[in-house]
Amino acid sequence: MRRVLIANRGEIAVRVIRACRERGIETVAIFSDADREAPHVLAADHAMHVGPAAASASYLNVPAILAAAAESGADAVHPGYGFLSENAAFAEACANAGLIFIGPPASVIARMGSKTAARAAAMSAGVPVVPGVVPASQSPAAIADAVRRVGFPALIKAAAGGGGKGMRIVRRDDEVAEAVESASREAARAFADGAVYVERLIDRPRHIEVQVLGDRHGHVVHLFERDCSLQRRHQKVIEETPAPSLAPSVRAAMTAAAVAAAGAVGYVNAGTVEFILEGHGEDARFYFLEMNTRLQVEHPVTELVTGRDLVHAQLRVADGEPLWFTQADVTQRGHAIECRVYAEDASRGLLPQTGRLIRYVEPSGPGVRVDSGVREGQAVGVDYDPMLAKLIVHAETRDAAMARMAEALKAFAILGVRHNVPFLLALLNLSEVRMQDAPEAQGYHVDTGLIERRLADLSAPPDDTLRAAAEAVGKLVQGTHAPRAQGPAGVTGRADDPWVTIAW
Amino acid sequence: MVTPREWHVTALADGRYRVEDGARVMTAHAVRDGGTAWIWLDGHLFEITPPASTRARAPHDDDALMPQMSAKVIRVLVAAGQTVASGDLLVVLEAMKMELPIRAPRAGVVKTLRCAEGDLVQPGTPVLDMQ
Repeated sequence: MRRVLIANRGEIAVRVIRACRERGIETVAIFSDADREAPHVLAADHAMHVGPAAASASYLNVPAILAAAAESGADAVHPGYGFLSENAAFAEACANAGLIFIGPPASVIARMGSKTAARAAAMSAGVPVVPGVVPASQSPAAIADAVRRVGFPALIKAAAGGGGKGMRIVRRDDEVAEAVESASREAARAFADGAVYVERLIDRPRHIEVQVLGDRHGHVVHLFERDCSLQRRHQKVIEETPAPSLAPSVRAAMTAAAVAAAGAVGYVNAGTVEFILEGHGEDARFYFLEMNTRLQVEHPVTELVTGRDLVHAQLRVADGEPLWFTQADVTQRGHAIECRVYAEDASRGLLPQTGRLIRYVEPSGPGVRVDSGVREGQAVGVDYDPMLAKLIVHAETRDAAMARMAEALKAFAILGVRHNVPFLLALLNLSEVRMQDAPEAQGYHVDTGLIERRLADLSAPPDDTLRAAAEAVGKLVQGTHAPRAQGPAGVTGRADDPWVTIAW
Repeated sequence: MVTPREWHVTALADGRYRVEDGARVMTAHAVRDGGTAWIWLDGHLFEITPPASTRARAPHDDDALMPQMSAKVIRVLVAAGQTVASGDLLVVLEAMKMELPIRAPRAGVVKTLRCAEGDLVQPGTPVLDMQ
């Protein structure tokens, strides 16, 4: 492997390019019209234009990407996450074009990509799955019958789904028809497959996933778990490892189940087995949710706690190297937390925002890592995911990591686009999340519905004192035509000035 | 009413601002963008506009009936003249691969429909008017 094309954009493309450079591998970026000067393009050795801004015509444009690979002389393709990373046809097309696909074989992607087939694979490997029913056909009557057999509350899920798309909760009979139609339509749009199935809804579950790594020689190891229970609209917001208050026996059973599931399907490369966890302590029950056949957004927390670089590992495994460490060599050290920094407005239901990053200053310091794919001056548009950066911290204990994260978030100055950093700070400050002073025996009372329930508390405006301070700054900024150019100047502000302030 | 504390602000050379009130010292990041001052202070984001450039606030209905971002209309479930109850699903938008429902902010009648399925709608314009 000498030259890798990265079929992605943003922070993950930058992350993969860095790892390739560290290994002496040349890199080829691809870019759309919207990304001509994006950080991933500037970071790579070569860059190939693949189409207009719309992802469907650029980062999802398989013929254009394969042509770019051929023209640039790439011998391997790293798909990142999202876009084509779990597209079996793309993996197959890469293989047919003589390119190493840095991920599992196309057949494994196809199998694990169908939720129903993945469920069957997990069951045959002895891994527990959420009780559910695959409808006999996709007719409304058959789906309604499946819902009745599962019982309420039920979850209607797209067979090809992921990232929370194509998923609807139904609690009553009269909700079924609209939920099926809407889940199916969303799934058809996002995955070109509208098929749905039905599961029992596990109320207030935790989302815990296990990182696995397999080589081409039949070895599979796990790199422990990540707790991703803090989600909004089924999308993860904060992830951490180790999972707080997870009983050692449950951790051991989950990691063993993940290795069994991966082994059963002949898994190769980095992957994640997702579980939901119901209950607390030694009695907690876990169920297989799905397998993600790619690198995860939240992979850095695992890297910090295990000391293993997952992208380096992906490159080495894809090049045919047998695993260079054993399960016993993988240990957890300290605690890591990741916050996803999104351009979205917490006061308006976390809706994605657009604008220009007029000021963008990343935090730094001991145990602070920022994986980002944006820079100051860049426009944040509607064409792609609104994630700006991932802020990851590592410290000796969970409490220390939480404190480190709060300080790093406050030092992350992003101006020009509304973003969720104040929301993330409020989230870290919730008593359920902080868990300080809470005896371990009481368990960890975060579940995947917490954010939705506490949304009002998470977008509370700052107090009047801070608002007055901001208004004093605003007065000086407004009155100064070139605030950067001038030396010290002073102004005194009071809260009763008639300025209009919107604050988070 | 509590007397507001006085804050003294000093502009630093790199676009940051020192903010102090005798008891507490903080550093803010601030920039001006047209008429708006964006300020990052102690983990809170502020957008401050002078009173003169402030437009009248849209009535409450419009806030609820407006897309918050550019979006595509994928379903229109009501017609002009139709009576709706508070919370009824009126229009389904899609942006960034997510469905965004527009629901009736109150009971009333749909006066004018301003969009059709397949249209692109922009923030600032309601998708329909209610009376």
